[in-house]
Amino acid sequence: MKGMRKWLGMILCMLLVLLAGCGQTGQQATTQESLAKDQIYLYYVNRDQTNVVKEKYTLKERGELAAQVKELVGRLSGAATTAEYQASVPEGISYTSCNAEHHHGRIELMFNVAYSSVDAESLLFFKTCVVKTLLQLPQVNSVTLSLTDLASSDPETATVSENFDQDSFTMSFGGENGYKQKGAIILYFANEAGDALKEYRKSVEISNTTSLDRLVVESLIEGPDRDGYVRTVPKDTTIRNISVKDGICYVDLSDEFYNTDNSLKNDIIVYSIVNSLAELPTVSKVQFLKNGEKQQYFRETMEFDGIFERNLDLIEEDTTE
Amino acid sequence: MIQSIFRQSGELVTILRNREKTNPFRSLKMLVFLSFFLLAVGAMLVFNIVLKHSYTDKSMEEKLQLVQNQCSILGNQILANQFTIDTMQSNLNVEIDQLANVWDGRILVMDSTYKIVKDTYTIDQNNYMIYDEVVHVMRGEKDKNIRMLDDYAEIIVPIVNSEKVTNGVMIAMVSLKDIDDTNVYIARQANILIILFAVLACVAAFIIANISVKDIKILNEQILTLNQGHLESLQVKSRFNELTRLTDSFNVLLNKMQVLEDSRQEFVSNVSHELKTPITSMKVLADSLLMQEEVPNEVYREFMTDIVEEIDRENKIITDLLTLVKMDKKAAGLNIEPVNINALLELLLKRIKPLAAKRNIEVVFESFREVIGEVDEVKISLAFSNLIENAVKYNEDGGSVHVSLNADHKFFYVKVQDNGVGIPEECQAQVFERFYRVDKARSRETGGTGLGLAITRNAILMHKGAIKLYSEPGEGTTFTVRIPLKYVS
Repeated sequence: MKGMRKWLGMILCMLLVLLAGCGQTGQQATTQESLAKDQIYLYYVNRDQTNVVKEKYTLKERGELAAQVKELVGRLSGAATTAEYQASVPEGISYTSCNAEHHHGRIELMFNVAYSSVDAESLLFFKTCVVKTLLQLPQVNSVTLSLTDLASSDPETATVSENFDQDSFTMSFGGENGYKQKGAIILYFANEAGDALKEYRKSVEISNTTSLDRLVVESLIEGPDRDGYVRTVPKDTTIRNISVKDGICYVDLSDEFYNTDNSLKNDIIVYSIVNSLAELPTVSKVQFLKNGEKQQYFRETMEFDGIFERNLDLIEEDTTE
Repeated sequence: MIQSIFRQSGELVTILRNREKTNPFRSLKMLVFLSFFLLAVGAMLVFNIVLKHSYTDKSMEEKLQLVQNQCSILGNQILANQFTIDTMQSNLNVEIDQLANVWDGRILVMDSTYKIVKDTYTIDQNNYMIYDEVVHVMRGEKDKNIRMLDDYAEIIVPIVNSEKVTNGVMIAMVSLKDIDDTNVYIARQANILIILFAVLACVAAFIIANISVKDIKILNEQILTLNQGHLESLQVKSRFNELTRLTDSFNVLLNKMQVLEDSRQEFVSNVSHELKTPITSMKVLADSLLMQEEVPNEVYREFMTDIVEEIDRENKIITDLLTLVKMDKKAAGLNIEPVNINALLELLLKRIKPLAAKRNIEVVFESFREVIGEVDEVKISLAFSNLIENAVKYNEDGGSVHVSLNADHKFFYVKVQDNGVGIPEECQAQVFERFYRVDKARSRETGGTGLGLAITRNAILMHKGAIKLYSEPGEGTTFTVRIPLKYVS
């Protein structure tokens, strides 16, 4: 009988642990979903000025983007310093205007900055909070911050613009995330018409053995798993060799790449690879090789022995609202 | 039916009782075995754990120190390059990549605006780092931050220039897998060794336990054989001192038992003989009477007198024997009371006066002081009366008996001295033995049983006293008795 009790006790304990675990993930799920339709998170700075915190907020402005931007920036600036958080837009930074024209969902905000009264941390969190708050608006894909140095006399160099998107900030680094990093890469597949390249974001898990250049090409070979994209590289292609040196990525692909029939245009195929690789910070140019040697022509018509750089013209304009 | 149940339940009780008796946890063998085994295994386990922890801690410490040093060197180089790392012709870039590779980890470098200027994983490069600990280090609130997770350690160090200003921060993540792997390897080896040695320890423990108790077992068997009467004394000399001593003590005991047994047999034989002697005499007298015809009354009277004498003698022997046996029992309690020894001795001497006067023997009592002793009056009287009687019996006509009484603060001393026939030296040691008589013929005449001195000695010993004898044949005998004044039980 004693043995029975022991076993029961152990089983109970295990169940409790499981439940606790489930409960936690459940809770996490609910906090994610608890945002209502017009609710977003406002990002503020925490009390110690070491990180950002978020607060739920219901937008008042529903219509025009510019008005919404103004409202949000106002909230981020005007917040009084409470026990938990501080204003994201500190004294020393003032909002001037915004340019909300729909260029691929990009908006531009202009600020005047008195750098002498703003320390590095405040500047960092200002950028982080403003960008992360605004990126939640459905029409916004990227935010450009143009900061004008009030102390500068030279108008040419006074304003510095920086572009941010959802991957620009490495958040919650400390933890398992640090070592096995979840990140995203940008790939370019063909659109359905086959006449332009479309941006495709893919989540990947990086560890110390991952080489991103290889990962990019492998992902291209894998192809898209969403509708609206068409693969550009034949699926049984293999990478013979790939390496990056001095910003040039040398890609050596197997015969299948060269021999398989492909209805897409040469440009589209080649630049899908080039543009995807060029998204990597370490790569600015691409050189193709076949079996270690430069090929003169790709599919008999396209010159292939040169060094390719990113071609932005082939990228389809993003017309999403 | 009922009988059989009772019988069975009786057996059951006996069996159960027997099983209780052989409780394994009360076994010396088990104790030795378990102690040795558990100690050996316990020691090994403790050793293993301590060593493993020491290795792990030391290795980690060293690794982290090494990493910090390398970070520091790297930091200086980064400063020298003014935080431009990932450029075309950068050796520094390659160096950082290689270092991250060696560590099987990741390196990130941030400048003072928190921009990640180098990430060996590439993925976060050119991003802004939002991380509490980095802020703490950048602001100088901490001079480093080390976090240990399962397989890796995260070290955040500042990049400080010569003026002690923090220009940036470096995060190094190093894999601890090599330490872990070594640990696993060592653990595996250790476990194998522990199991191996546990088995060896088990065997050794078993052997040692057996050796320890083997001699005891042999001893036990020998004693059992002894019980059955097949042995005289224990033979085995054990290899262990303790057991040898035990064997010797046991042999001494056996010897004592043997002596007791012998003396018992002798006693029985003596008793039979002594008891038979008067009866034989009586029979002879009676038979001779019967055989004659026409015996005149005077002859009958004469023979009857002799027969009565023999009966008296027999009676005396039996009485003395009973006294002795009662004393022997030792369960016989002593009736201790304060007794005036002077009065006691005077009374005894008064009683002997008629017998002494008959043979013109002078009896003198000398007392140096009044003595009150805690004694059993009856037994002490018996003891002293025997001595005094002997002094008279074994004396010449016209001889003298001198009794003296003295005491110090602890004992009182009684001396009975005669100038009679004395006891030859070779017999002196045996006079206190039962039924022992130096001169059988003489004692028979005087009506002795041979038990007097045995009774005396017994009584004195019961009082924790002592009796000594000095004698010269032809000159006389002196008995000296010493008895404690206060009875000590």
